[in-house]
Amino acid sequence: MIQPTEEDIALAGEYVLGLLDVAGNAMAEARIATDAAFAKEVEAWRVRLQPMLAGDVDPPDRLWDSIEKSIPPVAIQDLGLGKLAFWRTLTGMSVSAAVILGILFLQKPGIESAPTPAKPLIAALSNENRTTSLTASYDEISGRLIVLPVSLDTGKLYPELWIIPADGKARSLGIVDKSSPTAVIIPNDMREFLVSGGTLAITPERAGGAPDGKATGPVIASGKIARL
Amino acid sequence: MVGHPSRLEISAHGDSTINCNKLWLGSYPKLMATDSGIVDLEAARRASLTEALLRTGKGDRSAFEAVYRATSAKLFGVCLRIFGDRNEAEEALQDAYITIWNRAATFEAGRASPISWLVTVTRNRAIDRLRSKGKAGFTSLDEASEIEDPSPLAEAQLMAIGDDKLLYSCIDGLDRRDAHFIKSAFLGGATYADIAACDGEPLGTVKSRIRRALVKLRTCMEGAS
Repeated sequence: MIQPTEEDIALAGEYVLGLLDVAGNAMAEARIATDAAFAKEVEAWRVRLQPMLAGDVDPPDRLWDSIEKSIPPVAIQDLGLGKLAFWRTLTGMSVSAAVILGILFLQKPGIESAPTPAKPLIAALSNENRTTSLTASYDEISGRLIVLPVSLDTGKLYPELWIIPADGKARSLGIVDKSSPTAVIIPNDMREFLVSGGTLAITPERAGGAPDGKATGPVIASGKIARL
Repeated sequence: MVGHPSRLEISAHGDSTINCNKLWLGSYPKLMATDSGIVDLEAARRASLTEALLRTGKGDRSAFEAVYRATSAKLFGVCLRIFGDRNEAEEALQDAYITIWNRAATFEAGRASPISWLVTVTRNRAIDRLRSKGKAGFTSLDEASEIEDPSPLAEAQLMAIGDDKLLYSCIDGLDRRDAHFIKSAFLGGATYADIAACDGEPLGTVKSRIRRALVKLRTCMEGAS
């Protein structure tokens, strides 16, 4: 087996230790996505360093209840496995949106074996100053919405995603990750809202999401859904 | 990535007195000898955790609960090592599991072990929180050192005894400052800027030094295994 270069060994170690800047991180994640040997070295660093984090301590029982309340109710989906693997390939790493979209366009033709579905629905979410932005891509077959934060800062709060259909009422799609791709499985009764012309929006909310399904924070990013 | 302050801001934010001499004196978990027969148990545990995590990725809440029951003690241990404070560790753990729920669909069984994936997500979320609270760097590690030794150890951890000893003996073989920095970065979110400020060396010099130390650490660990 070919040994990784010292350059790659150090880079993989820096990545796992969290020492790279934003650009360095994006570069490393692009390498992980495309270079199996480098990805293997990254995983090897995780395994090497993990003993530092060892030590089991039982958390208090109440913690599970608050975690369970924090996740949106979702129906169990039976997704096509090929489709799922495809999305996993794309979202297995927090690559910057540009890199992900690049891979999407490069790889998509070769991957689809099932009948080609209609073009995906996408949305670009931003605020007026364009200082906050996310992209979202929705696959109607799997009911899976992939949300990619490009620039998103909610401070100590959590970004909650909303769908606002034609009736103007916002419905929560749950909390998304601030810095990494989030795969949201849209519950069956909400899928009718994920259509061209609907609006996706983000508000900062406390841990667990907005109480009673009503947003408390200001809309910090929004965008209309459109067919790619 | 995006969402927490840039590295330079962190060092400016942290306690204005970064005490570089405060070495991390945290205790590593105590290890015991183990009997045979654990390998199969561990393989079964791993397979069922992989299955539960994959089902969580499809939105299965009961599978998610199974993941929680199987891993919450381990991941709470991770949060305690990073935060030291129980309340903060509880918040970090809650945050970590919400992230795990949201990102479970991105777990690929072929690329990483489920526990490695879960620990990585938890560690990274905890470090993000540490940074957003302005507590990242060298000093927070002193807080982490006050956690009492966790016990009893789960069988899963006993499996890792060899690796634990290897890591610690190889880290101890590094230059003392480099060893301390590697621990501080992994457990406390310390950055190159922090160490450059402490050592009064240019950033470039510090980076080359740590990169050499990482290569040395890997050589030591791979050579022994």
